Amino acid sequence: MATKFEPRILSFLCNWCSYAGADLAGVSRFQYPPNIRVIRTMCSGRVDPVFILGAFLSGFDAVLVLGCHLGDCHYLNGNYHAEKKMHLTQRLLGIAGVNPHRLHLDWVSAAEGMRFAQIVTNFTTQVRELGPLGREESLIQCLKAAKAAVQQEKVRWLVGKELDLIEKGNIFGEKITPSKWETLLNAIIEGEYKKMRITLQLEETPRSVKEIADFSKLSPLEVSSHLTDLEEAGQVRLHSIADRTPKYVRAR
Amino acid sequence: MELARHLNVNIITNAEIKQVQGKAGNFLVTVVKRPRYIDLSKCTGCGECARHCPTITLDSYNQGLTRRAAIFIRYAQAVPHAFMIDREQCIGCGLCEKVCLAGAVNYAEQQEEDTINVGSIILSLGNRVFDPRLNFEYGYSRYPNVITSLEFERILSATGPYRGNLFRPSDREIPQRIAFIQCVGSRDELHNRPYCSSVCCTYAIKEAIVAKEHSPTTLDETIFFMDMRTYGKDLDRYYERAKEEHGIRFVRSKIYGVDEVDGTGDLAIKYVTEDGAVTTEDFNLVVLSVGFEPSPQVIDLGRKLGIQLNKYGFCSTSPFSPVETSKPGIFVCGTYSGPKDIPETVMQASGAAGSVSALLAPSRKTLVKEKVYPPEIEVDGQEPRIGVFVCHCGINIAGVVNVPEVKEYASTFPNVVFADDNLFTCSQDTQEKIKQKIKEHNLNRVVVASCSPRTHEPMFQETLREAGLNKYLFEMTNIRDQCSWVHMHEPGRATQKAKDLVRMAIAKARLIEPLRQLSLDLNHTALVIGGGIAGMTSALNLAEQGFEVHLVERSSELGGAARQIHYTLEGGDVQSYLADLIQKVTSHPLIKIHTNVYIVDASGYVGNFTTGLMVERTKYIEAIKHGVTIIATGGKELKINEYLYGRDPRVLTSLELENEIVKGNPQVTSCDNLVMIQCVGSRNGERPYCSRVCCSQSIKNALKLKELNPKMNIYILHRDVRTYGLKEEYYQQARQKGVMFIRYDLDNKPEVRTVREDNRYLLEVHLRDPVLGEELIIDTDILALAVPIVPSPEGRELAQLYKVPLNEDGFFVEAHVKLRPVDFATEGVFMCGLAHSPKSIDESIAQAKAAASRATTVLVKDTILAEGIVSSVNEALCSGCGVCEVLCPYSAITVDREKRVAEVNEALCKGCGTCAAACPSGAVQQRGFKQGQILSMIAAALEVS
Repeated sequence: MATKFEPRILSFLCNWCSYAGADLAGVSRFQYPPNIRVIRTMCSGRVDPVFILGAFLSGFDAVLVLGCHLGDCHYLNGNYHAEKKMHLTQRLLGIAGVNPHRLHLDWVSAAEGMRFAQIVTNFTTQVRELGPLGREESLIQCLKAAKAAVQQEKVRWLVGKELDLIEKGNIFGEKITPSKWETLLNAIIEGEYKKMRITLQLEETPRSVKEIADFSKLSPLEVSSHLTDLEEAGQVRLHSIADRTPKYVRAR
Repeated sequence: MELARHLNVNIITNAEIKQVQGKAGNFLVTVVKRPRYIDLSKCTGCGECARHCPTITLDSYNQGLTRRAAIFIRYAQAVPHAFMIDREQCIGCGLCEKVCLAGAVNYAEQQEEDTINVGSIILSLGNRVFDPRLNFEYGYSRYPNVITSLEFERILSATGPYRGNLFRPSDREIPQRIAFIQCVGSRDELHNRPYCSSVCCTYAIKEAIVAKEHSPTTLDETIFFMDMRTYGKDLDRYYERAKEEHGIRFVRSKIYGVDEVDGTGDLAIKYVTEDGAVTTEDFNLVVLSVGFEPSPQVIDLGRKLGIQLNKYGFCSTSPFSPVETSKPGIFVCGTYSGPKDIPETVMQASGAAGSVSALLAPSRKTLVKEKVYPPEIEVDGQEPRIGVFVCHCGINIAGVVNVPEVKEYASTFPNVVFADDNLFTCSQDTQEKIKQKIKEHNLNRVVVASCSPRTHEPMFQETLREAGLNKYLFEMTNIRDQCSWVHMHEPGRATQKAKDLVRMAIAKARLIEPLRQLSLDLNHTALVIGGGIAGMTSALNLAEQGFEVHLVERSSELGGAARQIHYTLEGGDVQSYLADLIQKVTSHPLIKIHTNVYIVDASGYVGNFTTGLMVERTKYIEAIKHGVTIIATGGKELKINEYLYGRDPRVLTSLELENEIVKGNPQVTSCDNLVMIQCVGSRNGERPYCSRVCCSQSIKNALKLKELNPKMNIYILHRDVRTYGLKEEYYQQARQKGVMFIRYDLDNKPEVRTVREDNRYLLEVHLRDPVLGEELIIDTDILALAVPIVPSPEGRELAQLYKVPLNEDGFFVEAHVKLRPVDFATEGVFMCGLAHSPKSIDESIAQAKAAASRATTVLVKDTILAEGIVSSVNEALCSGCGVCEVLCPYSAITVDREKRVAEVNEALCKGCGTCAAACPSGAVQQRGFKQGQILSMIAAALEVS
């Protein structure tokens, strides 16, 4: 009989609420499956999207981020920032072909031991149903591209500015509507992700537009237009032209 | 927790005061300590004893809704976190001693007496709640589904009897109709509790909203009340939201009685509404909003101390000394001096501490304990030498996790030079052992795998310091609360998890570094902005404590809004108090007063502020250096052009009316009819807040007028009479003296017209009487308007200068409504008085002392020690984009516009790490939680499968 799949889940808990809630679950002896590995941070706002993608790359099947309830953050508003960042990461996971439900963000107060145990139990069951993340090379490539995308300065800049631009207004004093922002950010992360997909393939071997398109499941036209940007940014250069086909490689 | 750990706070629990001798500055207090039967230094709080104890009793913490053993701990967060034996329940079987591996049980413990010498005493004795059995008609204790609000609070709690599920007691069914009955044991002449308990309206709304959140189905909730007294800061908005957003029904009524509906457990409430209609309605659960009362024990202690108590047993205080008892040197805070909410209680607590500080200032620092540590061992550049200590916690961990196996496993890792397992890693002898092993093996990193760092990390860090290691060379992982306790039936997988957690901790330990805590010099001078009662009280308290104070006032004289108030509701003479206060402030050698002065710039941070002053907005005079800032810019009556105000001389504001009464203007004092309209310009769309003091102000004027002219007809037109707390007594007095109170609704406001009759113009007030259901016309001689209190306009400038927030109404926003009511989130800046919200003089004084007291916590330090876990910027990587600057909630990061790099002010950084998680260029790192450190843990988590 095949052994039941046991998901590997990484969890980030903030020191003041969710970690204390986890402690209370222990004090109350609320049992939950032993699939999570906990990293304590001072605030959920510390959880960098890079950590999430790093965890998937290391082999975790899912990531659980728990903070204080909105309004209860020990650092005033860190959990709002966590919410923004996790939403972004979920969108990016979707683009990279990973079920966004493998990343779950929730709130647990220091008094909610039961709630903590329930969230962990439910999430473990949910991930067990989703099955293993898988270790196929194509998936790894996608995750690497996603990780590289969230390390991009422009993406991080926008995420950092989000609350400000929506709530306080930009440098012209205009407020950006949340729906407009959503569209804008989606376009940017998708673009960055695709560029990273392309760049990663050109790390070692020079490839043609068609080859890149085949690998990354993008249309040749799309690859071509991103290549223009990447060349412009000095990240990719023309390597050689074989017959009538140019090949590109990562610029060093 | 912070208190328990404080070196200069000695907590004595399970004890009572036998007697107090001596006087202010030198009291001798005899304390009787009852036996606990548990050695506090040995008990680890593991709870093994309680699991074995055969005796079961009702758990008073859960209001008797659950049960506990005779050996118990009150609740999970109790301090000290140690068990005790309830001698009344314990049958003395001896089992707990047998199962306690820490050897903490000691049945031979005896009652002890101790005499303590103190300079001052603060009474924070609190209250208990009214016993609703005295209100027989409500059916409490006869019907299981009639419960008190405290019981309901426990039912809604995650640690309560139903684990946070909304069930009713009789049958664990989910109620669909809940009723709250207000004023149970409050505003109740019959049971000698005529005072208002101040907090019940708000807590009933809170419970109703929380219940909605806990309910899986639709929930109908009704609050039966007399007057809705949500008078506190922002609480009227809360009330409106309860109605509008949450659909909670509010019924103004009197309750006749509650009866069980046969066989259903449901309850029928019979009530009469304002218009006289009697209705009966069924509910599944009835919550009684019980009020406060002093318990016989606290009344007894008050008598023993010889302090003056009022007729209900609350400690008496005067309006000008809200935290002082009648006995010098003994202070009071919280509900012991009358019902009040948490913010008010916390303000009084800090205020009482401030008064004590002033009294005992000459002996400051004479008894303070300070620990001396050996010099820190240099570890820079050394290869990590890690010691790992794995805890059995008796059988709490070892009963599930194979601890020796985990220890063996830990010892196999590179850099781990020593690994050990201990029965109790937190015990005193293990601490000695850890110190010894640090020495023996030259350990430069320590990993402990045991319980929660939240409770035990500071203790282990202390051990490291005693051994000469920087306290940040410590890493802890939780294999008890988050492993053995929660995977009790899966020992194999729990052991595997423990190994993984230890491996992750070791991975991080390799990369941790000693952190220094920046020590900054500080300026010991205070700046107080605003020369009203609040500002002057703060300034005087600080000066009495020995600190230099700059008191800045924009106008030409001190006194603020109080200059227009002549007496308090309780009869206190405000003008003579004010004159006395001004005299004390102006003659104090440590207070420098600046009048006619504007603040034009401000820079710096806690301990080192610089503020620029200007005269008449033209002449820059000086830049003041100061360590703390207290903002007390006050507020004022807003003159509203409604109801003919400003057009008819017979229409006055409440304060103007007071002034005319004091002047003895016969047109006022000898008139026949006088109408007061409450909430003019308050509690409406434009100003959705309650100004808190106006009801008392109007009743105060009415009582004064009745005293001068008992025949005068006085009508107070109100929306709710909000004479909270002990002020309720004056409302009763006013009614007894014939003052007529008529209620109106916002959508049915009174109208005021002038009508020509013969040769004069009559001033007519038209309104609909909700009791009679008829239109009334009152022909009045004088009309007084209770207009709102608005914050002073200079608040807006100061908010920008000191980077502190204002709410929508223009009042300053505190760091935490309940827990830090006078602090700003920005360290070193405090607030008090009307700048915070509308309040009475006694409340302003208590808050002003609180602000001074909080400021003292900064000023008494020789230097400011910053956090070790703070953010730092690698200038080479930083592009100066400013994302971190925007994100920081503490204004701890600023971008140097010339160098184009961000700079962290370590004095202000609280170490949340939000900046590090957002930095686009990887330049910002959070010390102790660096990117590489966390990534190493992620990588290590799955090294072995």
